[in-house]
Amino acid sequence: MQPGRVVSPWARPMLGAVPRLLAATLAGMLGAVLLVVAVDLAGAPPRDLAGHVMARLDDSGVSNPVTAVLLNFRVADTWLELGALVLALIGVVALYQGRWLASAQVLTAAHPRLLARLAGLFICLIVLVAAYLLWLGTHEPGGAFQAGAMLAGAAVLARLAGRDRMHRLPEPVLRLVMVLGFAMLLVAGGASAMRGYAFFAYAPGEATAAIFALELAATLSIAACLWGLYIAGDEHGTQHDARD
Amino acid sequence: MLETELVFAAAAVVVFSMGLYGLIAYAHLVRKIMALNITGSAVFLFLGAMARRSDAGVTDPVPQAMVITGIVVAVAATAFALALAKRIHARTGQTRLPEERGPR
Repeated sequence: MQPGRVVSPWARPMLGAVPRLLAATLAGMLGAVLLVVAVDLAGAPPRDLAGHVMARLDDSGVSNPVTAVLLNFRVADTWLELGALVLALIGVVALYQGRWLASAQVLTAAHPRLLARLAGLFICLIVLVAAYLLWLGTHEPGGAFQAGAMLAGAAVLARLAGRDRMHRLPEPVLRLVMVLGFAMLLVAGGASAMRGYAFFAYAPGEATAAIFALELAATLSIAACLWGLYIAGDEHGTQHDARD
Repeated sequence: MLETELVFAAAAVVVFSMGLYGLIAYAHLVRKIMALNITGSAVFLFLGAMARRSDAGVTDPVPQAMVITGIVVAVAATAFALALAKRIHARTGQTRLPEERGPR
């Protein structure tokens, strides 16, 4: 960091008045066009995707329609989404030139004892709720994304309270967990294709078990990736940067 | 029934326009990232509003699944954007791109 050149990080540099007016006009005009489209769309008869989903729900292996869409009918979206998560993490790791975990190991700040104690208690509860949400996903709203977000929240809470032990895991193990969801979906899709089914189609009768296994893997990956994205943005990382 | 969806859809369009304005008007990178997130939230709101107008008697699960997928992608993209912004700040001491002009 070069202190001489640093202005207030909270300064509000804006465009001049004329470009600002142009931007407002552009945004307003686009908004007006979108509004017409939106009203038109809302008035048109729906495409009845819900009808299609509900008609085939019994074949999907789960009874929650959203999970059926995410993990069965449109599982390719979920697979690519896990890929996007890993890709973002790779980008961040590349920015920190592979030292993202090294920066995570610097835990020097003193943490209030009350926070540390409470975090210990809450993390147990959060992990319990995450497991419940994951199990719930097959028949009620819930599932891998909700559970993964909860677990990532627990990991961030642990970090803020100075109780983070995730970084003590060997880096290859952490990396494996981060790509687990993406890799397992690819393997499952490929295995289906090898056995004569469509790519990403489950064999009859195996859908429920396959979906639960894939959801578990996706939960762990989402939690690990979100934790990794948080860790890499830690302030210690910037201090490493400054010495470049 | 239809009116509720229209209100949500119209609100989504207004929020999207505000986000778009913020994205252009502010030079501060964190403000730009926040503006981009606001436009994203507007899209999710719009999808939620559209999901309600299904004939099957249930909220359409396909847009719901798209929103869940979209939220995770938005979080990942935001984290990467923030890491880039921090890097730019660490390297140049600036909170905006070098080409960005305008008064401080």
